[in-house]
Amino acid sequence: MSALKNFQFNEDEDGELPTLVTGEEPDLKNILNKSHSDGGNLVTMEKVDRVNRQNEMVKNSMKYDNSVSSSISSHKRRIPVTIITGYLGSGKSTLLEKIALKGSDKKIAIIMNEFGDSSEIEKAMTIRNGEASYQEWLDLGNGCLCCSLKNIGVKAIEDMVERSPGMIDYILLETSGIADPAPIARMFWQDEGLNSSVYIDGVITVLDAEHILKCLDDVSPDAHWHGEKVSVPLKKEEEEKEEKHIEDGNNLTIAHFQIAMADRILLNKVDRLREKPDEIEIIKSRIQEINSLALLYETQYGEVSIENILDLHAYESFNAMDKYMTSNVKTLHDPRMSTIVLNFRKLKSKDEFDTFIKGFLQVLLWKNFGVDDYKIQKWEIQRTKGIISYIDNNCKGQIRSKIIQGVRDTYDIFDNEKTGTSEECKLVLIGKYLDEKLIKNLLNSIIC
Amino acid sequence: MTTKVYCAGLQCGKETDSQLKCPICLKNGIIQIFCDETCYKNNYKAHKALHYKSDDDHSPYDPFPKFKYTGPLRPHYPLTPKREVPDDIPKPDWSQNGLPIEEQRNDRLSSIPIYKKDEIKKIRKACMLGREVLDIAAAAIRPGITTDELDEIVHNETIKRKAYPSPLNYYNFPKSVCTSINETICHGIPDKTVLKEGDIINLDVSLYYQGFHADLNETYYVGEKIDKEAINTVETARECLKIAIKQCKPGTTFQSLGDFIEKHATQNKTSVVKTYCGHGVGKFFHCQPSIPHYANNRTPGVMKPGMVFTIEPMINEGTWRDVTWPDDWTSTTQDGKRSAQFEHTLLVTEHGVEILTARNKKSPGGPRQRIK
Repeated sequence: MSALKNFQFNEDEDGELPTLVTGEEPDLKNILNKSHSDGGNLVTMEKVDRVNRQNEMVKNSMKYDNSVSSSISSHKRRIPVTIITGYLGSGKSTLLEKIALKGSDKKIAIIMNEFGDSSEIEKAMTIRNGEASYQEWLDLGNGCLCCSLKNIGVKAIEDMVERSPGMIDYILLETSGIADPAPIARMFWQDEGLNSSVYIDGVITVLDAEHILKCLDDVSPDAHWHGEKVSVPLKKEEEEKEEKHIEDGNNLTIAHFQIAMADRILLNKVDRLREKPDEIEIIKSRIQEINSLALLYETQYGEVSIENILDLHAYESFNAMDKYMTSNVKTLHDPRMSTIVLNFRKLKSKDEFDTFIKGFLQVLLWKNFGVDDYKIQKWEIQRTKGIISYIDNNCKGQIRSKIIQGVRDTYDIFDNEKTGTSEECKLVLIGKYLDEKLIKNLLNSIIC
Repeated sequence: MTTKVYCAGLQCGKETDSQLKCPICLKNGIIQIFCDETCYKNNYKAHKALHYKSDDDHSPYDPFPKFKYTGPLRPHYPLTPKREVPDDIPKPDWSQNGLPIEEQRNDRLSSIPIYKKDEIKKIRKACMLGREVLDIAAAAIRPGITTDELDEIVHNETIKRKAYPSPLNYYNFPKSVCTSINETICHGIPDKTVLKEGDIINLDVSLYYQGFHADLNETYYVGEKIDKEAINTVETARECLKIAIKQCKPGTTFQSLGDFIEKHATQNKTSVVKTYCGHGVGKFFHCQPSIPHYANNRTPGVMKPGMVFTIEPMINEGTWRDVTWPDDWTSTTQDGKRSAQFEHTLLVTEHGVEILTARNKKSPGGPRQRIK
């Protein structure tokens, strides 16, 4: 949601604010004579400067475009964005501080809070280089980029990166405690054609070990955490919310979504549970039931090696699979939000691959986008990751390996550049109310 | 009969019994009433667009003199005041303060609406009216007319048909139509810019009639002396839309449209703008699906009978990259070369597609022969 632009009067730029008149004043003529036209200065000089600087940079990078068509300039250095999510009090801020200090070889931009749901139009952002820090402005421009593919916040960050080459190596985005990270992740996960100067590296979810189970189970409509409302509002008119909550039995908290979207989970403050090792195991298996794909680290005071959480390339590669196999502890199945792993044989042909995409993947993901074979199903997939191989009959039976990545309804397929990977296919789905049996049957009907 | 008075603050717009007027406007014979000083202050930067540069210089001026424009086109301020819409015309929620609350709420749903018969009937009617308004405005295009005069025509023809001009105050857009000249890709603000022989201009008309929006645009040639690059860009854009519409039928993915559009654009040595896309339209001005016009995009969704959306490729003579003016609306090409666009509102039917905003025999404009 975006807000409106700031049209506030500014004395430095606009001079003295004229006094409003009724037109009935006896000395109206005098008053009007003293009011002078003041056209111009519609925006600040700083803003014009920023726009100019950015355009200059883009113009320079255009020299690398080798044709007018949509070739992507490979020269452009893209800056990774890591989204850090977790409830208030889980230790996000401490983690951010630690990363900024440990990653002192990097110039790290830290963007705080409520991004993507901003009521502020201009926003300062902190850039850290070890102990040193300074501020840079983000121009959120107009509230509207209607019929635009880019979110205004993402655009503001891209613009900032473009006009300050070399000033930023990494971006950490701390969401507000109650944010569902999926829409934010999707904003930053843009197709290559858009030629963004940033890319999403991964989502890190910080959990307060002591309280996480309570958080997951507290699904009362007015569940609060540190004063923030954490139950998931249903996507209905606000007025209907309370009613529908009971009717649909949504039963999910923001914590479920934050865990589902995570590429790495930090189970923080484990020191508080030092006396109860069993409980830590219960918590871990509970979390892994929801998201079996994300690596989980037990931490204290946000202490974690930055190699474990930065530069993951979580939306490009598919590394976490091996780990997944060993950490699958079976516990009580929580149908509300869970992971399903599908292992199946390599596909026989390009045709079978296409059928798999159209008849299976799109059926799962595009339920509300015109593929409503299973519209009545309550499932909603948050995250898709997969590796699919097929025999390319057009190319002497060579085996093609493809990576599938998805956030909610959007998915992408690209070549798996790692060679020597398994020829089997594997698809991991993390989502709400996944009916494993039904989904497996659907898959089997496709690759019979 | 007393006429209701509304606050001139674009972010207020509330009915008011205030008598307080901007003295600078009053001096120039323009009445702009604000609730109070707070409203005046909060909306001042937007309001100021109506003021002359100085008391003794009433000639049009460039409000962003320090901005490095990419081409020869400049804005010509001041703007004319926000045009009024009679009380009996149903208005979208942003008409008052600029914020499309219902649309923002709907965005969280993330699904493509399927319209029922009676709704389609209303959308069809809105689209028909939209076509009438566009044709009337287009007929007025000639060297010498200003974009503000075109805005006046669009506004008056829209309210004459008991419809609301959707762009008006949408996120505080100040005018009733978008007028995009030469290097302007889209969202040009009508002002005192005078059209000249050889220009190309896009008129993007959207209107809201009985609860439903229509959205269409076309690019027109100004005068007869048009150079061959301009013709190639405009005709390629026209063909790109036509080619994309040909693909539309139940089962077509939205992501595939960009492949066809970009292929044709590239064949004609033009490029496809990536920042702006087609969109769902109807109950909302903009909603799902998002329809990018470039190749290899990954937008979700498959066409299904009852879906209503626009396709509106923007085709550039040179680079596909765009630059936004400091007004935060006007989008121009990065290299200052021309850009052309065409748009229709489309309905997916059982067996294909219906162009709800189709041209008729009398519609002005239309293709011209390319010059070799």
